[in-house]
Amino acid sequence: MKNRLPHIILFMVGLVVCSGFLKAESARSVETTAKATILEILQLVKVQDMSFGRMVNGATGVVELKPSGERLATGVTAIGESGWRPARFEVRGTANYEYYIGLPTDITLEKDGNQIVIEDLVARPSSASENALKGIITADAYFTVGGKLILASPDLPPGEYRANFEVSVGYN
Amino acid sequence: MKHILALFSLLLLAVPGLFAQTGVLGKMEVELAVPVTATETELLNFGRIVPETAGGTVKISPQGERTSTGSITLMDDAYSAGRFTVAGMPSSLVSIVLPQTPQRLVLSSGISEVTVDEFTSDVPVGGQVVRQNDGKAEISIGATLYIANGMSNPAGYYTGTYEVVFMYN
Amino acid sequence: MKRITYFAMAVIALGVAALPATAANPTASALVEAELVQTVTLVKTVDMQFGKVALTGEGVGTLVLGVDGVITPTNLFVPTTGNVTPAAAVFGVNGLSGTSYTVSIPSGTVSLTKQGGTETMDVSAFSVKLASKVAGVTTGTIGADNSFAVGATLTIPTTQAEGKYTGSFPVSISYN
Repeated sequence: MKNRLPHIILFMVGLVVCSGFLKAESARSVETTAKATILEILQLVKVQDMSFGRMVNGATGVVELKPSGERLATGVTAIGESGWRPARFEVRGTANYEYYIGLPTDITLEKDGNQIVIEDLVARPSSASENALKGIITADAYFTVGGKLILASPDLPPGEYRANFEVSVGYN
Repeated sequence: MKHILALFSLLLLAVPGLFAQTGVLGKMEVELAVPVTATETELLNFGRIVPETAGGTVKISPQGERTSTGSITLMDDAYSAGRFTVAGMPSSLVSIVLPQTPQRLVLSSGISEVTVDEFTSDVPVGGQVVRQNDGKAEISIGATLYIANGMSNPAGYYTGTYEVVFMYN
Repeated sequence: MKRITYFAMAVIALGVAALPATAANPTASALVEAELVQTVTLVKTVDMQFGKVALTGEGVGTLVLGVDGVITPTNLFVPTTGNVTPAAAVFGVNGLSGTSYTVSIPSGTVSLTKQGGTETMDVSAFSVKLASKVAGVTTGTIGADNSFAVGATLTIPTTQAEGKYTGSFPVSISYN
């Protein structure tokens, strides 16, 4: 796929033609520079799903999953040695161009009719040192996505709660 | 890029596992009861005796009765079985161990001695009951005194000690 | 007068016909999941009871209370009347069957204090046995090991004052 990037080539060529009834003695021509801006189409690929890992029910609180991969729990007990990870998306396009990231406002996980909401979704592009919704395209650009999972009820039954969500990118 | 991913993996492994913990308290109890102790309240006292040439024995029973054998004259002076007051767990049983070998009574000047043997007591088989109301019991000890003739046992006060072991049964 | 005509031409050329359906603002979808684990609860069902003993006077007394509730006395008299039955402590574990858990019992010494007084005695060498495991194994599974017993050793100095002594010891379980 990388070798065969299709292109949409937009070019504009301006021609200034001087014509008319000119006598040989005063033909005037003006030349301008032709400019072409070629932008590769943006490509977005998910390479890693998001997981909050395991936590104990029976309490209320928040489990925050940072785009850096760090997990912080308040009010509830998050357990396990591993298993939590941010979502990760790779972005390809024209190098050094800025792209923006579109995230959902919230995501609702579900299991057997029970719901858990994730709010405050944030992204961290590979080109940035902090969370941001803009990144710079490089040969291996990516961004990670995290958020805050809200356990609002102590009566949630045990099990795996899941959902799908979408992100988008565009040139700035 | 691959290098960065590898670093993340190493960091994850280095993080210790997160556990949920829940704890309770258990209670503990023991009752330490009073150990057996005993106090001597009466000396084992054979009293005043006068041995004739042939000597003999003087026996005191746990009940305090004195008898003699051989050529011994018993005087009227005071005599007594040995008595102890035992303290211990109310309603418990106390048994004793008496000397199994002859004990010596020695003349105050030290030049002569007589022996006391065959110790007996009023402790029933199975042990003496410690009273419920005051946690005490009384035990009496008797024994037999052996006297050679008057010549080898000159007159005087003869005294000695004997050991009694008290224990719960 | 010169007439100069300008005209410009714009040419827009589309590339190769067979392009994938990527829009100018592509989207990608991902899965997100979280696993809720059922809380495991721990309750005490039987208190630790050493029973009634008396020092024999032969030396320091030790009373080993096994996880099976059997006591082994040293330099101690254990009355057969007016006594209470010794018992190892027992705890119950409740949660989703199949959950693995690890028990933590005191590793050092815990004190008993005389009722109505300040004298203390030491309890140490705590031992544990999960329902389906051999003594000493501290990790079990809810379902096979819904309870575990705890024993310990009591040390009684030769001059210890008589009386009823009580205390408490912490036990916890961890799971993930």
